[in-house]
Amino acid sequence: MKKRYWGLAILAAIIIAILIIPPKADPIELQGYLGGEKSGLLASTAFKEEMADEHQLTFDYKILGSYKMVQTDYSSQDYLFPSSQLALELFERGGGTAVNDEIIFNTPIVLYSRKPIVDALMQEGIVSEREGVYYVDMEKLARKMADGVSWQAIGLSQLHGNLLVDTTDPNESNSGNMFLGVLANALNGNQTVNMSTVANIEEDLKKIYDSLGYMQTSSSDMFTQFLRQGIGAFPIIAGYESQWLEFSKQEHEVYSSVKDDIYMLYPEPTVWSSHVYIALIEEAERGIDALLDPDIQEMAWKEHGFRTIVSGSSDSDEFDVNGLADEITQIIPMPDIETMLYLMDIIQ
Amino acid sequence: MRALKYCLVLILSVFLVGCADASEGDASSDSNGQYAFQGGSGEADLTIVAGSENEILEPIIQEYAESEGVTIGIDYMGSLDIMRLLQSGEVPYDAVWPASSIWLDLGDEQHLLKYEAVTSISPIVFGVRDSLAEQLGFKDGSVQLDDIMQAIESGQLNFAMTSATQSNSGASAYIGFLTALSDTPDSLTSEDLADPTLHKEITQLLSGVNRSSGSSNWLVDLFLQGNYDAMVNYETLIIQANHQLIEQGKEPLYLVYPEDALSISDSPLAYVDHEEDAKEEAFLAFQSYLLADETQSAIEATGRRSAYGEVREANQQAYPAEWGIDLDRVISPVRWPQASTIQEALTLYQTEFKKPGLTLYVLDYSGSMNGEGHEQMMAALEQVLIPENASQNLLLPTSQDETYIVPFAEDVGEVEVGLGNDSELSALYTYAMDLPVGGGTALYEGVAEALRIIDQDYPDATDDYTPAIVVLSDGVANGDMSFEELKEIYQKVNKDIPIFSIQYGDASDEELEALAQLSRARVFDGRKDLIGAFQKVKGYN
Repeated sequence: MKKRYWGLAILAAIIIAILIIPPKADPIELQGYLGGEKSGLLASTAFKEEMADEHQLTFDYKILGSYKMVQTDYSSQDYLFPSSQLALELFERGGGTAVNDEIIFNTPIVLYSRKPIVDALMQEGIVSEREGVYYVDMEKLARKMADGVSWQAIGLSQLHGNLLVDTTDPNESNSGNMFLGVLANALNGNQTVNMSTVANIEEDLKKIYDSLGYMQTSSSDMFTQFLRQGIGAFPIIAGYESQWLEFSKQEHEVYSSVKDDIYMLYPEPTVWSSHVYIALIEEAERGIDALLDPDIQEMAWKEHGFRTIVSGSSDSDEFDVNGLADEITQIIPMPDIETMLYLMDIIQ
Repeated sequence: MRALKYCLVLILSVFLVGCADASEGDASSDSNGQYAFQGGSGEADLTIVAGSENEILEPIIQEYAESEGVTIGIDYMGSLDIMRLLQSGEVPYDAVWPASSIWLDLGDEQHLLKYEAVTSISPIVFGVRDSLAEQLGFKDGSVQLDDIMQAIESGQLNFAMTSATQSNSGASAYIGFLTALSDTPDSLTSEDLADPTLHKEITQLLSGVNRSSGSSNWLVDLFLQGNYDAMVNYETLIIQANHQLIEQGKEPLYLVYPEDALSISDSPLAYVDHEEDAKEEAFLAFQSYLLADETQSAIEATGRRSAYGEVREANQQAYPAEWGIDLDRVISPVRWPQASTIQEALTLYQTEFKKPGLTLYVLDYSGSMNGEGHEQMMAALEQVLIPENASQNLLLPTSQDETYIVPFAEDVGEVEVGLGNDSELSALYTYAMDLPVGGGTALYEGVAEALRIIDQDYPDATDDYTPAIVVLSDGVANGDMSFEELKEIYQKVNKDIPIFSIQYGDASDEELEALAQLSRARVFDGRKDLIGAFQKVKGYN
């Protein structure tokens, strides 16, 4: 071939390359509000690198409770990433319009406790074990809480006060909000509460939340405090399944030393928390595809414990976690938004 | 009721903003970047505002700064002041490190914080002189708040405690007391706070406070200088105090954990997001150092339980069982009430429940105060004597407080007194305003007059009140009385009355310091911020 044909060939190759390899999008930085339980994933180097290299995206965030973020001034934000559909509904009711929204991953609401308490609750028939997984009879537990039964009365004399489950503030944070739904349903005989039945449980519910006192606003802060402050400060808390799974991977050393004392308990029935990404501006829409990227989805499950649709996360062998359920079968629908807003108001 | 709550919240928020810069007081950075503690040299890579109880970790932080070649600047501030600083939204630090998560939860209204992590745990306990603890039966098993109440009522126990509106240890203990005294076993409610029986009991309990302080660390210093019987403080600081008490050949304190009124400090460290990547990295590196196993073990050896509760075998000798420390005991703290109830309780502490203050302001009207000096002094007095202002600053006296103005110049001027927290208090301001300026600096004569008033008119001053003499001067004492003569008078009066000073203008360091030492008090720097210094000193009585 003569020299000039070489030149043409190279030119042709360049043209073909431009045509078949899509141009990389401009790198952009998105600013948003994030539910704290997802900060482990978004702050991780692997996530940041994957997002930067493959999607030219940087997710900057401020941590805010799911309900707080949809009811605050978010006009300067590009995206919101709360932890439930209810937060999205509230966002829409408040006049918010999303460019697009999508459920990115799911995790069930669970309870966390420690051995002496689990033992006592098993004695009371509130907790039972099946195939290595611990389940909580929510109706029985809710009854004890409403009746103001003391820890002492169930044989835990070293604990002060009454049997209660600590949660984040249902008016600000999603894990607390969803547990409010679970508890309300349980008090209603495990039937989803609605506006016509809410009167039956109102008084009990109010009493429980009055006793709780100050409730935290962030699920991740509460989980850390549960782990660190010990059995006396937080006997039982409500949280996400993903939190313990993530901890087992991200803080493996500490996890190994405390894992035998910490119990993850599945309420029966429980509810799913769906982490929904809300794009507020057009550019933020790119975040949806990026978050649903199979690599990110796999990372979300294997490293941070979020169950995903894309990566098929029923394989509990991924984790060295005692009592991790393969499947969550006993699910109850959350009360509808009217009822939830009503419940959120009466416990305020 | 709801309207009242909102009103309180409103009052507090005004206070919170107002107090943020004023509270820097005695240990804050100046514009040259000087910090109360600095690890490493040069401009700080990371600046932190921390509770004073963290001072003990300075060597551990120093080691990090040296080995990593970074500079860390720390200023100390009461946990509640850190909360107020956060609420103001203007936080001139890269990180906050108060004694308890609750102050970050309540303070972070502007959502500035990231990476909050518990760094150590320490319960807040009563340290009681060993033989007294034995005599009171506190060594025979579990102690309830009621047992402590009985010891106070029978006149056998007094204790020192930090101010509930300034410091975490005081606030936590106080909320613990209220919870134990209320009818409900769980969280304290606004309804509980309205109960007259509770009012009576908490007032009775707080009548046992013989000395107050704005800082937990300073409370230990105070304790070591005097012969006190007991104090409420962090387990870790009582352990520290015990080592020094033993060194002084004194009895150690026995640690009493009131089961129904226990609270804990969890010392959270969080990043203040100013969107500077280098700071964020510096923070995360420092935080992982603190949480690393080796550092946690070093922290544990200082007497703070590391995160995750357990104390490593190797460090257990730092928690002597003979001092009442039982590491197997489950620490079951009382619940924090709702935010509005906490604030309501703090307001009630300041205006109703705490022991009334007997405050004697000994004020300099000498010639050198003419002009700016006088104006600033009046501006500061306006903040503590005009009820509306004092209330916003959470410094409103109780209705039983007695407040004196003792003016001095060439001689001691005419003394004026006001009772309570309304018209008589504001009349004192008018009185102070109208006094003439000019003449010499009869500082010691002024203090002597204040002592004479207490001695003659308040035979039970320390039982019935939290007394304090507060001296403001911009000069050098040049009256006839010498310090030695004043000292003699002080010793003859023989009452535990702190003489706090506010240093102003060219005031003599040594003279004010000598007054503070004589009376186990401290000097506040009013040169940068006179109003702040007045506010700060009120936190000590």
